[in-house]
Amino acid sequence: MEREHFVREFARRLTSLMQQANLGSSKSKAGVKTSGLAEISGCSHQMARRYVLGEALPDIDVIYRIAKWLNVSPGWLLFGKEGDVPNNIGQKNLIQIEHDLLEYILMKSVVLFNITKNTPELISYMMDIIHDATHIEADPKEILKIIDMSINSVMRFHGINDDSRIKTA
Amino acid sequence: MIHELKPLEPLLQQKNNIQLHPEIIEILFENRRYIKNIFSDLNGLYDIAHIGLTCIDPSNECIVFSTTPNVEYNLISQNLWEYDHCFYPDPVEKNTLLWWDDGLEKIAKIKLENNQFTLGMSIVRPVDDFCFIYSFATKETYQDFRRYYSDHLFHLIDIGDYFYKSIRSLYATYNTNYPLPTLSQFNSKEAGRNIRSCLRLVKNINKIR
Repeated sequence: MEREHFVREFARRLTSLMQQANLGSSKSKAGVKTSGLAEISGCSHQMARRYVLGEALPDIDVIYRIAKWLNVSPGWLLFGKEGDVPNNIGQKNLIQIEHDLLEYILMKSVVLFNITKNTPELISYMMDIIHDATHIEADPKEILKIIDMSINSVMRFHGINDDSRIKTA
Repeated sequence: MIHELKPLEPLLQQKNNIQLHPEIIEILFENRRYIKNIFSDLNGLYDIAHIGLTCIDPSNECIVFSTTPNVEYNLISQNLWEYDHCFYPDPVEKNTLLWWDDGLEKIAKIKLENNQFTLGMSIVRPVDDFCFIYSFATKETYQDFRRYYSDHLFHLIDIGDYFYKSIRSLYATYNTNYPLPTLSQFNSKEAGRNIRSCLRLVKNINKIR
């Protein structure tokens, strides 16, 4: 009985997340489309349907894949409380970055504020660097090197927009 | 002297010989601010949010400049670049839009999904013994945006030509072995048709002619 409750609660969280991710379906019994879930899970449509109906629980490696797909932690997907949806759900522009990496980028960028008054453009550029740092698949040392190169590219000789034109005029 | 655009066959024969510049990663990131500055002149045109330029010289050495260098980095580091339109010219007619989501799913994720681009496209532009590949991406959504960009193909080529002209001197610092094509060698985009360019830069060239 306890396991059945656990599996049903998992399904409730799963379907709730899928509906928020625009994967809802009025035609299916569980209220969600299962084709994407089946693909991510590497299972049949029938098995995916059992997941969302609370009739079966995926293996742990599959739960990891589903959680990543829906941008939540595997722990929350497994054990989160009913209705306790993480507040990041639905925010498309969410940035996830390690504290030390963000601190490194900010510290390195401080010097750039001395060479331009175009703060909005500089902030935009820093956001680009943060985006790259969180999307480049490389070891930490390589990512730091890329951050350094990106920041140096401002100081190198081109500056930020109007600064470059002033310098090269 | 006006040079006709060359067919792609010679490039295709050499396809397997394309080599990345030994410092291609450094070039990508060292110059990213400069590239972004140039892009600020183009930002918003046709809702383009990304532009990239791949330069392949007569020895088949490849250099890339990009406003979104994480794309090229991930493709290179994961050895996916050999399968990508942005690095290898495809056996298609010249001046055709090559859609990013037509390739491998993993490549589409790196290029589109990671950067929240809704659509990406590349255009192969052979000039003399060089080959340039212009790449564009947007974050906007239209009902029929493939047709929208197809309808503006020549305008996209103009933008790519302008971008090339803007970074030509920078490219020259990394490629000293061959004289780089000048914009005057980037003649008509479609043989036999007189296409009026959308950018002032190209209009001036027309006047010179």
